[in-house]
Amino acid sequence: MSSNIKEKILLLRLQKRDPEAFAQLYDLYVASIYRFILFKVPTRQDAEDLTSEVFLKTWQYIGEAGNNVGNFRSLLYASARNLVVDFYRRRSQGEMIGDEEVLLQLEDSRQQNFLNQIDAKADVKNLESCLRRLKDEYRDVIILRFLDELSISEIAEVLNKSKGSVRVLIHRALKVVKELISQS
Amino acid sequence: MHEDVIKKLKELKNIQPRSEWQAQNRDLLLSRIGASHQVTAPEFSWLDYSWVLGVLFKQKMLEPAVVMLLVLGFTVGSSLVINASFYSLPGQGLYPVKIALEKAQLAITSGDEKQIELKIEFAQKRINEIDKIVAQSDVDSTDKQGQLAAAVKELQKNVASVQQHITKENQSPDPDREKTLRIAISISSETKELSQSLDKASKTLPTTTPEVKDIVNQTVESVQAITASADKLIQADATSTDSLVENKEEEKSDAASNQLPTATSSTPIIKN
Repeated sequence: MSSNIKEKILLLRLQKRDPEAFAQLYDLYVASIYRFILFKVPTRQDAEDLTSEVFLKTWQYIGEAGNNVGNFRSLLYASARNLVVDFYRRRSQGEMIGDEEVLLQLEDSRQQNFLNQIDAKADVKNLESCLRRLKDEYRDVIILRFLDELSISEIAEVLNKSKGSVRVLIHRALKVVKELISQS
Repeated sequence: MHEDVIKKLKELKNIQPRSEWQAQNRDLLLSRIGASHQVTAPEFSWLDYSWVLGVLFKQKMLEPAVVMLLVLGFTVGSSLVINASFYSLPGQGLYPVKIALEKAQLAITSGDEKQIELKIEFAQKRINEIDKIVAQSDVDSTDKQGQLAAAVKELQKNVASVQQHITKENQSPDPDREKTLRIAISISSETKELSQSLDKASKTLPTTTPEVKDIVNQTVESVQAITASADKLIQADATSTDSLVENKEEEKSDAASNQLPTATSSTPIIKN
């Protein structure tokens, strides 16, 4: 059975509130959703907590009346993006500062993270640092396209952009990654 | 252009969550969604299965071209004939209908980018037709040669039409940089695939058709020239690492327009 048909049947079972289908879809996508979140948050613990929340929220969302889901994977990524935004909002509310400062702090912590890791010899570490330095949009398209191998249409759906804009984003993101790699 | 970077990026796939967390979290989630209360497997009606088939059918079969054919088919009351034309090959009676419908589809498509994608899709279809003609065993070689010549001629028209777009972008006195880049990237990525398919098809052409082979080779060169022109436009894009910190405002307005959920209402927003 092709993976596409398998996913559709699992999705149908999920809509019927079948926990076994939920478990199978979890096994299928947990690693890629975790990785997608990991590059956006400061610690592994945060990535684990948010990944768990993504699956729970998606289960709840699918159970709500009137929510039709065509592509389960796109739904997971969209949910992950929203929860990361929530994560930084919650942090900012605790410190009573504006969104702009949160973004600046996030940028600072990424820069710091980058500096801490710049001595790391391993290529993967360097690449991870480069990804963390990218602005959100660029990092998203890089992960979705080259690590998780989503099609241009799927990425456009997740990011709520046109296919043309996604292609341009990928092109520019690759250009920036290339420059960062050569710098490091 | 960026193959080395892409190869390196793929190494990041090795990053995996801790396996013990993965298993524990799975159990935790199952307990939270109330798996323990599930005593019977859910029942599925024929309506459920037809939903799955419907979604798959929509994805595989209801491409814009087929939808167009069906709509027109119902309108004129001869959908079977028009659908049959979709699978016709050059030299067959319904082939001109197929080409006319493609032209109609192009005429009602607005926007340069969508038109380019459609034109390249049509060119790809011509290559598929060439493959099918070559694979035919019940047609004599003279007919085959005629069919191939007709398909290649149409292919040339499709390619020339894409070429016009790139020339237009190159000559534009007041270019919209974003739009030009989007078009150039679309053309570059699509024509690279086209060039590969065409190259593959040309190798399967029978040796008895040297003139057809010549036209195919000319077309390969045209496609490669289009790709080169598009790549030149892409290279001209002067974006640098400065963009690391740009567009924060744009991101925020994107988030607002997406109606991203707050900390208390994290509902996914995808609607299909």
